[in-house]
Amino acid sequence: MRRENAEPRRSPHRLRALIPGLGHLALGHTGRGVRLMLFSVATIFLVVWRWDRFIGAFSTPFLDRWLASIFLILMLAGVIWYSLRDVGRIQQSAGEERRGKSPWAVAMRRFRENRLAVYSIYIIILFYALAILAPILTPYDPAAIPDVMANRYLPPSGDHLFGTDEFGRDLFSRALYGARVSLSIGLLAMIIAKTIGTLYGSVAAYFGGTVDNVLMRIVDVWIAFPTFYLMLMLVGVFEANIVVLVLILGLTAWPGTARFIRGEILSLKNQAFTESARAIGLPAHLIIVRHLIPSALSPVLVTAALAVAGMIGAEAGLSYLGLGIRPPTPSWGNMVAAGKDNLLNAWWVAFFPGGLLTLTLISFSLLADGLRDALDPKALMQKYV
Amino acid sequence: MLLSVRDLRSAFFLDEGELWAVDGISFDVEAGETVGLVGESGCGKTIVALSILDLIPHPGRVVSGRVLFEGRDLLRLPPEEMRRVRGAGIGIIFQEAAAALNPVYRIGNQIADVIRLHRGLARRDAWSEAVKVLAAMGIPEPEKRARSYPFELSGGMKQRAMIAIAMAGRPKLLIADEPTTALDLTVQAEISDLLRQIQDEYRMAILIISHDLELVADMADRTMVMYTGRLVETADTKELVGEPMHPYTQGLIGAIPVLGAGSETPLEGIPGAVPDLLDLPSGCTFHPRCRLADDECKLEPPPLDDAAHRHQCACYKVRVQT
Repeated sequence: MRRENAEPRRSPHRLRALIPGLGHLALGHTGRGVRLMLFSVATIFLVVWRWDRFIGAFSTPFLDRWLASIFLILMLAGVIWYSLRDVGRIQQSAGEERRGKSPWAVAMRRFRENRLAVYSIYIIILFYALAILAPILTPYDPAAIPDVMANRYLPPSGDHLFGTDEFGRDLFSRALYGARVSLSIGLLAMIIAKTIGTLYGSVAAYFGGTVDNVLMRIVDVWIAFPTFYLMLMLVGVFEANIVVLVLILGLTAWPGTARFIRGEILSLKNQAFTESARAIGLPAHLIIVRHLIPSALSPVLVTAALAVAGMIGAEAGLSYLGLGIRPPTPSWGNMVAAGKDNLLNAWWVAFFPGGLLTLTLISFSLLADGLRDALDPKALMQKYV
Repeated sequence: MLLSVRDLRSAFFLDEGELWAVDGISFDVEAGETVGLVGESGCGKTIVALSILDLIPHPGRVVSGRVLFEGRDLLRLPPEEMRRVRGAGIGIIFQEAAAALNPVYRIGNQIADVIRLHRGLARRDAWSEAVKVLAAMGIPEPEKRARSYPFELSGGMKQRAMIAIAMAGRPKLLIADEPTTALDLTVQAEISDLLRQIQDEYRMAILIISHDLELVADMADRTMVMYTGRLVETADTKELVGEPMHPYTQGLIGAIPVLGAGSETPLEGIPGAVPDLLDLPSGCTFHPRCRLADDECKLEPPPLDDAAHRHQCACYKVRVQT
């Protein structure tokens, strides 16, 4: 929502904000200013430090390297845009407290009060950023095998942050590339599962009767399969790569969401606002998408965060068993598997990917906790009734 | 004739049995006219409104009858065309505006939705049109209110916003189901003034449904009295209030307190309570509470017959008297 009464359009603060953080510092928002500054300095440092790779990416045909470089540019543009906008906002509302009042804004405020959840968001964003930036960040090629005898099982050091594995490959590089596999599988599979589940469940609930019966019996059958064994069977049939794993994980997980959403929609569809949506002649698909799903969405968001953790865990489990992503392509699961036989002699081989995996899973769980508290409909209602 | 309801019957099919909420009702609404529908709570008034729009929730449905709107039978209309009637042909305002507005959308968006749907305006134009509609509903600072969420508005404002949603599609008939019941007295007066005013402006017909005979008498050209799913008396409002024929109508009017009447004229109520719709008395369903009832009334339900000019009444005793 924009205010029209922004007379001091070009104030010194606003100009100063062109350097991210400076405007905030001048206005006395020290914490945010320092953070914005650190962020932009780190980004610029990265560009300068890895200039060859940053600029070199555009002369390669590799999509992931293009993405990494573009992402860096976006990060820089984003921080400048954000600090400009934020300084403008702070100035406009000088004195008065600006509080969004939509239910989502209320939930956001409540979420920010939960420190653990906020830190987990930071960690998650950091990991995803590291994964995207892997081609720029990694000191070594994750698959390159140098002089094996001289380099195998080197402990963590300045040269090799996470040490090296039995083939002398740099584990830090492998861990970052492994993050791409694990994190993207988790996110994509969750999106597939939640999208299908939400649409399926809400259609069943809204139309009810026979439609509901048929659709939900299909779900019952689907749920009756033990998921992990189903996955084992499927990865046995199809050769496991990222796409196949995303599809398998996503397509086995949606029935739970469908059943859950159906319950939510059943209670929503008899509420007066649904009735009035029908009374103004809104077609069924718009009633579902615009009125029912948004009201049922907050618990889905909570389970979505948990689902990402579940998916990442499942992928790691499959890869650990040698049924998921196969070496030499690194994934956290197969990296842990590679180190499991040498835990005493070369603990770092399994420790770092395992630690990253654990940290990721914990972060998603804490994020889910935070979302649940922030989106609790009862607590929300108290604020706006 | 704008709306012509013929022998409408709607029922809920419950585990306990069939509940006939509307049991053979016929009436007409002419363009630009205001018709009132009065009855105690639970007599099926709201179901009449929902039947017209074919919006009865499960496990209920319209069982038989015809609802002719501009000559087309709404109950046999394909769903696509029925959607166009809802909102653009017939608007409805519900009793609980607070619950009927979606809490997660701004008021302006909810009105703009109707405008985009039925008048095909682009998003931006629909929004400015929504602000205009809000202004026409007498909402101060309409731009600001359009950006508000329902929980930020007072009860009266919510009701006005609800009316704005109903009017945004420029309906030819506005069904107002207990439009003022949830509001306090001063706001009630404002809302009924508003309804009169927008009727002057937009020239639509109004079907006003309420348990409040005073409100209906104040607004309606003609009034229908409903009891346990049937009409018991219909007449021009003046005549109905001045010379009520049916004992039930007489009871309703006798139960209205008159300011300054003094204690020597005691307030008369109707003895007993509205019967359970699942277990209705035989014959005239009003007979257990009726002072005129005799054995004849327990046999067959009385038909709604002409009793005087433009005045119909469903009572054996009244017909005998005239």
